[in-house]
Amino acid sequence: MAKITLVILFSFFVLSGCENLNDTGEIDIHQSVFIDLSVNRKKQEFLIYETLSINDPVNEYPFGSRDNYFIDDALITLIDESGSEFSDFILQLKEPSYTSRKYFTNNTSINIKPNSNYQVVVQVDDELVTGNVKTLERITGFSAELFETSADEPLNGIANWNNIKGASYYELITTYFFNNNDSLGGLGSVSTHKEILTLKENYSEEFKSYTVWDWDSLKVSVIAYDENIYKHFFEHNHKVNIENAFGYIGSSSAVDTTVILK
Amino acid sequence: MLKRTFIYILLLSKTILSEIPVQGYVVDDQTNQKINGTILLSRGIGVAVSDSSGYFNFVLEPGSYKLTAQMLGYKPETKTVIVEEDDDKVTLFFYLTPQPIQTEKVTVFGKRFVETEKYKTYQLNTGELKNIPVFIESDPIRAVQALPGVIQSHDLSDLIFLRGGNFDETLITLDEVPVYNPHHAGGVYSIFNTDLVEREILYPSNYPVNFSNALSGVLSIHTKNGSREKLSGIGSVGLLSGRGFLEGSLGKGTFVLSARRTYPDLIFNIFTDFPYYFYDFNGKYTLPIDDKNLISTGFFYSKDIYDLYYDKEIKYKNEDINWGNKIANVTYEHLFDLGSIRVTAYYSESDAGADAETKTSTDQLGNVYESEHIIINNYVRDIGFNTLFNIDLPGQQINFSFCYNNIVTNAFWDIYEQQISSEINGDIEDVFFDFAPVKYSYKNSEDVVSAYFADEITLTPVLSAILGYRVTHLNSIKDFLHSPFVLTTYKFNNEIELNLSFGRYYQYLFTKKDLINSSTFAPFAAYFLPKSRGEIRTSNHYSLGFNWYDFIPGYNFESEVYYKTRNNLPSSDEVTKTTEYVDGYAAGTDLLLKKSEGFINGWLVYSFSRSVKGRGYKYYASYDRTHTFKALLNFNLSETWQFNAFWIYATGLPYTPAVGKYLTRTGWELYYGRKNTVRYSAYTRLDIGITGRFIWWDIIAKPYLQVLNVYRSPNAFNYDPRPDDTSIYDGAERGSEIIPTIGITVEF
Repeated sequence: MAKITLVILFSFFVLSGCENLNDTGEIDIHQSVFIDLSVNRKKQEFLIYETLSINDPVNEYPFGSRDNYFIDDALITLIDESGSEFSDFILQLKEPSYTSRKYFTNNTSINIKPNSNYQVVVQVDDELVTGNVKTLERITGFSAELFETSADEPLNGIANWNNIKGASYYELITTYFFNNNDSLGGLGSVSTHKEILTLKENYSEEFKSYTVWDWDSLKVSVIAYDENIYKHFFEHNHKVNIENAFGYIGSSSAVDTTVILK
Repeated sequence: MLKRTFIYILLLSKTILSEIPVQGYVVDDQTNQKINGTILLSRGIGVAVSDSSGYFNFVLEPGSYKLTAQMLGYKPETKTVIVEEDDDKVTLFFYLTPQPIQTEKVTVFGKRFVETEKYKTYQLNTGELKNIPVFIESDPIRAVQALPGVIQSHDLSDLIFLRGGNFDETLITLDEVPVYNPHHAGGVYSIFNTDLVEREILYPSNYPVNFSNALSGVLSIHTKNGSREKLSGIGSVGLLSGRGFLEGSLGKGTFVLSARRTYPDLIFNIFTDFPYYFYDFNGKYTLPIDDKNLISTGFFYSKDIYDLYYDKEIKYKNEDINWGNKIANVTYEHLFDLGSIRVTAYYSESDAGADAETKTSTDQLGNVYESEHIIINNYVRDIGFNTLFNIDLPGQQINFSFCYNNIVTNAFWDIYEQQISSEINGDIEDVFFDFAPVKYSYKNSEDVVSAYFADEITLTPVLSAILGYRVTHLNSIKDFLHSPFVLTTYKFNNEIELNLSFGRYYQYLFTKKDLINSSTFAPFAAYFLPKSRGEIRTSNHYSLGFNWYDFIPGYNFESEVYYKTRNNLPSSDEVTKTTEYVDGYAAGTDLLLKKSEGFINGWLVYSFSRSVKGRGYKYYASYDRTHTFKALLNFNLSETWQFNAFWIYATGLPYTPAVGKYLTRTGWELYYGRKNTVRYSAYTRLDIGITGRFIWWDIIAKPYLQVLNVYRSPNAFNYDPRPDDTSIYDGAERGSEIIPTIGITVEF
């Protein structure tokens, strides 16, 4: 009886020793697409990249250029509420100071209507990436003014605007421009960014340059972002309002003003 | 006359001068307590008796002797001792093994250790605990990882994964009080001081009905009661902490006190910032009121403190990150002719807290760094009352009990921070449960009423059985949980036995942690109570065991095959970042070969295990290790030196590999494939240690040197792939350091 029991135990673990690991699977989404229908912007900016298998090397991670992975021949179509289609998008390059320069933009003029529904279709080879988005409204009540400061103090001021329906957060950007011949060797501008996540009726946000330079002009911009873009950046949701791709299809609304300093 | 006197004096001097002092201690090898009244025999003649501290001394002339230590209730031990003329003294240690005495039936207090022999258990007593090489600090729960059926996730973890079950499925009790999240140092050590432990009993599955609320098994830790002999104690200093232990008699009763604190912060804070320390202390008093009544009471307190934001500008700080346990219990036991009644009340709390915020700051370019804050208020509180009746009848022993528990769980946090998250390669809130949000609030409570009985029956001289049944009522669900239990044992002869067991178990207090990586920081696991019957975890345990004691003289062989169904288990998906609840099973076998005495003693273990779960798609659980080999060996090199070694080899844990990469607006991200389809490379480690025993004045000093991971095996402990990896096997983080530990223990 003892011998039989030992045989049973031995057989149990020998027979069970064979391992059947499941197939690991592979990445089954082949593109990352970032569509931001920006109200009040003449030039839109879309990004489309390919995804990679784990075996593919990523060049110069983490700060290398993304341009190697850009899908140059993607076809983008926007369809508005009336059924009109717009697909005149071309590949452009940003100025050389950028690491990743490639982007798609509208070749001819397009007016992204506020508070409107758009269907987005991106074709990459024989795959379609789709999504629908309702654009944000235009920002109203925007103004920016500088406080009085002496020449040896940083610039500071205040921007005001009204909340718009559908906005999940705002970005306040102040860009200080100065002459290319200055001592900083041709640097055209310096920007500061501030994100405002608190939602309220009206906004009065102070801004500050933090350094003292002989600026020529100051551009103050406020951009409202919708929930889709918020989820991507703040909730780390990598697939928002989009089918068959990582990324998002969302909307923003921008307004800006330029203050000449000298 | 004068000449004769001179010759007599000369002969007497020669005799006195040629006698060599012999000294030493007699110790119980299971409890490490000194034994009073042991007779030392030389050539059949008594030469000494050990005193209340177990100490003896006498003299011998040079020569060869067989010395025997003999004490009622213990197996005698004989040593061959050679006394040389030029020896200053001879030092001996006798470690005696308890041997049951056949007498008329006597009802005594403290029967629990006899009862456990009927169930399948693995036990570690004080002596065995100290023979296991330590990871910087001696630890009773890490020691359990050397036993069959127990899986360790990585070198830095003290978590127990028992027979294919998750860490939260093992009930840990301290003197029968449940303890939750009992971890120091983020899960590297337990909160229990080894010096206060008398015995640990591990039920790897099919545990008795007096325990409940655990899907896998039970680790029951029993503390010492104290000695009625003279006041004695232990002091230790190691690389990490100093600790003390004291026991003795107080009035008619006995007491134990222990305390421990880490000290690196006290030293390093002189030069730099060392923001962490822990401490714990406990006490117990046992008072026999008379020969039929006994009362005992105990308390335990532990605390870990991490100085939050020590290097940042603080807006406010009400509380550093801290976590710990509070336990208190009181037991009254009364003996009567047919048995005993025991009434116990206890309180057990595990908590974690923090409350601090930093100031907003900006850099020279105007980038604003929002202030960070960590607010945590988590706890589990369990108050219980048990009444246990024990009745001894001819051929039968019956236990029945009524129990009430009130369990309260609370989880609240609001966290916005970057530094700690980057240090633990994840989001700090993941330590609470998988994919936890940055803000969370939860509170629940449950009244649990249960009753059980267990009947141990000797059916024939070779066949015995234990029948048990537990019924539990949860007030919020208004439902009864039924837990039958049966264990039958068939003895072929005095050495060979076969046992067969079935038990049904429930777990109604659980974590929502499935991803093993995030279990690195175990003390913070949030516990949840079920909202419906469907959330209660259930398991049926089946086991078949075969034991052959003394199959070679001095060697015991134990084996067991088990199969467990498991239902309502959390299954976390790294791709969708969601947790669902699935069913599964665990099966395997544990083999143990053990030698308890002699120059070499220890054990060899082989375990085979399968733990599978899933709905539709089935996968290996994150704590599934197919094959595990363990060897623990102790070598008594001499009276002074003892060498021990622990070796483990186990196949790797499974993980979910990254199979692709994609871009987001903030950078590269990884795409994970099918769950748990790849395994880490094999896990192996050799630890060695050497311990000395010296008698200095009236104390025993035991310096020790231990080295962990002697051959620097690069064992994987975490999977953290990066976008620049080019293989599914890249990304396994490995530690490969040799870790030495030195320290000294002093016993008096």
